[in-house]
Amino acid sequence: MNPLFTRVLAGILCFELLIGPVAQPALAVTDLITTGATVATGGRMANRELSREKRTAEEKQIDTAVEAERYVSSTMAQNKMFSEQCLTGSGEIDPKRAFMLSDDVAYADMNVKNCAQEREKLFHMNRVADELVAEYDIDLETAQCDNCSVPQALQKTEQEFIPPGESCSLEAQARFKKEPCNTYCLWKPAISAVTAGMGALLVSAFTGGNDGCPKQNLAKSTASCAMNMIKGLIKGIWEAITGLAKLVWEGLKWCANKVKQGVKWLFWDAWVKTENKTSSNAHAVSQANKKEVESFEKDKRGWLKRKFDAILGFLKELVYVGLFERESKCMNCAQKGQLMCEIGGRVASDLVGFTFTMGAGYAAVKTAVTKFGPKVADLIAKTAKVLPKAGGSGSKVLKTVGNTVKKPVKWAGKTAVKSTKAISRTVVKGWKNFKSTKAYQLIMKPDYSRALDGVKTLAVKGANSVPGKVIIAPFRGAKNLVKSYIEFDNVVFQKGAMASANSFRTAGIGMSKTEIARMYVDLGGKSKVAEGATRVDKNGNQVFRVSASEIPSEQLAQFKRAGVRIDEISSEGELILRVPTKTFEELKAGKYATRTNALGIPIGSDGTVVIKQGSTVVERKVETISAEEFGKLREDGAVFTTKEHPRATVPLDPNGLSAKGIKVGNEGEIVVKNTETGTIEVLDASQVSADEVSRWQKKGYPITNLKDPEWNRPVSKAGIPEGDELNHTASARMQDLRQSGKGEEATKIALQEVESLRVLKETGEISGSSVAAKSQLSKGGRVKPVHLDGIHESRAVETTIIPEKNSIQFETRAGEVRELPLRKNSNVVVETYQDGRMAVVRDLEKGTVELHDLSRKKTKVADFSKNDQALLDEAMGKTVKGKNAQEAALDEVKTRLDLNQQTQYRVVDQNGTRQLEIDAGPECRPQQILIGSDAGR
Amino acid sequence: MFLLKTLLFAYVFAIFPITEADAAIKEFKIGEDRFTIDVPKDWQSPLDFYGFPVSLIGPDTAEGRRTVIGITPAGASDDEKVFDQGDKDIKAYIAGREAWLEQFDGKSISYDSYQKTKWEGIEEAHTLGYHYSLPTGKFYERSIFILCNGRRLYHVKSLVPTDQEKTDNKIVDETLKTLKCTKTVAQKSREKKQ
Repeated sequence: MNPLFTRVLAGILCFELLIGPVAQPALAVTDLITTGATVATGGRMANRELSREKRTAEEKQIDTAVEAERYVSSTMAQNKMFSEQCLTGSGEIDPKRAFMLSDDVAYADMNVKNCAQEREKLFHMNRVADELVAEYDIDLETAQCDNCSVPQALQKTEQEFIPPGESCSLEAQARFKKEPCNTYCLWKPAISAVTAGMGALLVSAFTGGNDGCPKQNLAKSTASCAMNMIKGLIKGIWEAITGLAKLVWEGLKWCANKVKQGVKWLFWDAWVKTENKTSSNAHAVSQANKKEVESFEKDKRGWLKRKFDAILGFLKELVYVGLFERESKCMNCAQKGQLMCEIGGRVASDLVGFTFTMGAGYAAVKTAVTKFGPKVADLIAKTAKVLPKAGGSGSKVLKTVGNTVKKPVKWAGKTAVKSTKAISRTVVKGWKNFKSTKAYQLIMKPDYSRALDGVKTLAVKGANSVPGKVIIAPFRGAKNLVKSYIEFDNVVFQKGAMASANSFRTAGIGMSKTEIARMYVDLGGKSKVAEGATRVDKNGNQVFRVSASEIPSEQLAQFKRAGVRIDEISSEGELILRVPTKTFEELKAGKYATRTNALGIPIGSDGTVVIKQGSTVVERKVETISAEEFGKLREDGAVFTTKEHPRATVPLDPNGLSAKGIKVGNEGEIVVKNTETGTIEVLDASQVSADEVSRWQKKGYPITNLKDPEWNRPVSKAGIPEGDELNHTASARMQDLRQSGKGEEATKIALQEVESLRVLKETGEISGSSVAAKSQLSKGGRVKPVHLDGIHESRAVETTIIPEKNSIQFETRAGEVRELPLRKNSNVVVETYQDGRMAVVRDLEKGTVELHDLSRKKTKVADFSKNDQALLDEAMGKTVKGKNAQEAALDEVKTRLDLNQQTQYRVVDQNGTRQLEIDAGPECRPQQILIGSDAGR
Repeated sequence: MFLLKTLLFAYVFAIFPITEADAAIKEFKIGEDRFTIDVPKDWQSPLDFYGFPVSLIGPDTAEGRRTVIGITPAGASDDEKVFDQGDKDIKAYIAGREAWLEQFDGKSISYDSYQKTKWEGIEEAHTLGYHYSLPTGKFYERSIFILCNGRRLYHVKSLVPTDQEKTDNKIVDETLKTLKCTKTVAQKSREKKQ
């Protein structure tokens, strides 16, 4: 309490009221003193929070009691004017109303033009005035005064002070915080009621008594909300499983409309919701992987439980971080339950939307289930008992449940909106309980009006939106946290705030610009790289697409140490990093970061280094290792790490593989290249026995480690040992093909090529090397056709080399024998086009292709590394008389599609991409085929 | 001998297309009718999964999006032959799809024109489709209303991620053409009595 200040202010005000407006500030104060107001010592300050530094330059110049009193007087005069001009009949502020200051009021800011601005200014002035009263021990006599209502609100203790931007006092907040609040306990009676109402099917899910819930008075509104939430959950799941309700409803509507309007109404218009529903469902299905579908088929109940767990996990994240805490700071336990219920009900009532928008379904959400989670999930699971029959004949039980869960459909409509309004009113009422004088409250709490607007907005938005839609976002005092909102289905979520980003990440939503990217940047990446390509995959890993050159080597090493999966996705060094959330947090916390001394020896948290050599692991203090010893250890193949490393205690080579001549890598790995399957495996050396290694060695598998720069060079399935020129040729070709954009087809082509060479080698037509092959071929060897990929596959023809003529002979598809001169070619493949008019001679060794226009005896040499379509374009466009590349390509496409001459087509340009649109007749939908460089992909 | 082998090879392929040889026939009853459909090899066909009484789902993909066919009874009949009376206006369909896309920050790319076709086991199939993009990728979606015994309407939804269109569109087309609507024993019995 601050009675002295109250008396001072009251005195000033009453004086002014008695003698009229203050003509001049100085006079006012003088008069005040002379009329009996006394300055006392020891007056209490109400709110000292406003520091002197925050005072304006003018206010800082106040250094006498007279000036202080003058300021206080002026403030109170403005308070009075504010009350007179800005309050509506109901005591609310009308922020748009014009505010006029008397010229004679000191410290008036003449820029103030409306009540909102005045409120802001007056908030500050009252705080300063409060301080001045205490500072100068101003004590004014409480005179008789009938109109002292305005300053009454200043009679607040510090505990009662309401911080700007918040809706209740510090004392109230502390009280709410202490109040034990278990939302499950709040909901329990409602849950029990719902389950009981559903009959025998759902009994006993929540009938357990000893769950630690105190006997407390449960607000009726909360119970009602909880009941609706549970119904909503069941409805959501029911709809997700049956999917019939909306379709049937639309069907009925359609039939009704037909009767009403005849048959002229638009069919497709009637089925919009069906389309929406089935589209969302199809996307949900599309995201389910094989494992999930199997899990669903095997155990529907378990599947549902996991779905439900995912929702609850999400709710927990959503509700208990940031947003909910802030919103519920000024709520009692029942109100908290109500708020949470409101949010939960909306989310839960649309499971399909949830799954669709969350992506990846339950697998992405691994958050622990809340205390009440398993119980509610069990309830749903019990419902699921009958679900396998859904869509079937429809037993009585099924109908019972169906009818029960259909009820919330109505609730999700009108009642939900009503409920939203109700909670708004409840909250407002709660807030009001912590206020005393209206005018002061409005002045002292600049955000109060906005807060009311926020609550109104909540209600209004709820009323105007589709059923089930709720805006969950803080409206007050959290502007700095809230950057934007993200809207999914019927639910709007807060986006951008740290806490909320956590929720999204946990829920498996990929966002391109979130704290995830920023944290990555903190770890050493570059923002432009990380921010543009961040998402969360279906396994909950955070995925970064980055350029290897952009990541510091130490950062990359950290990722490797942490077990991050790193995939190279292009020859340009682009990497995909998949970081499990837990690992990410560990990385962020610096778990895998290492310090090194001047020699480069890593230093662990306790100053030690772990030295691994062969089957031994030694831990030593870093300072005990000299430069000389360090050098020697390194020469002997020792690996240095720290005890924080996850494999710190695992010896490099516990199974003695080095005795077999195997060099184990720094991470205890070996790389085994299986020449039979063509696969490359990175294995933990501690998990590989010496016998196993012996077997691989006998089979001739190359074994190396990740230190080997060529560890990932592909091996051939042909079984040709590494080092053989043929294999090397194949590997090199594969690399070339990859770089030329052949991608995954490169392996296929290279293997085909090497297979061709292997056959030649086996038949004795060539020796072990391609150099020898050349000479063998020149002696008249017969080259078997190689089936290459793509459109030429069926066109390869059998050819005969005629060495004396240095030419190649082949038969065209038309049955005509042709002969082409060879220019020192050795290993060639010939294909024909255009019924033998065109021949393509590929030199597999030189990587060139000759395009022979047989009708014109014209030859063109092109680069074999081009893809087939480019080759075809080139061949057709440049060598076929009278046809441009596009028409020729069209011919080819038509041939491939086996379309007849009557087929209508047109070439369309869609965003710079040429497309061939073919109308293949009334029985087929129009086909669009890419032509150009992207064709065939 | 070679000629004989070639002829035999051609004969076998003519009689047993690859898709049929690899597919498994699935029989199911939804609504009031019984259906059969050939489920392509490596596809899954759960019942009552995410709202579809019957769904066919393509193999897993690296992108995490699978091709889907979902069949649902519409709960109505087109006994007045609405389609035959010239209702081919797809403005409402487009408007509905655009609104749906807007919800999910998506955009349409192109719309197919309305088509009425007849399949071997389905008397009428009325199809609309469109390509669109969502933040998660591009898709080709079709809605097909098929008519079964007594002109009962069933809704078929197909969803093909664009990166799988090259292979899956054909599979979806061929699979849907294997959909057959047959009469249940009860229906046959009723008809017999009548």
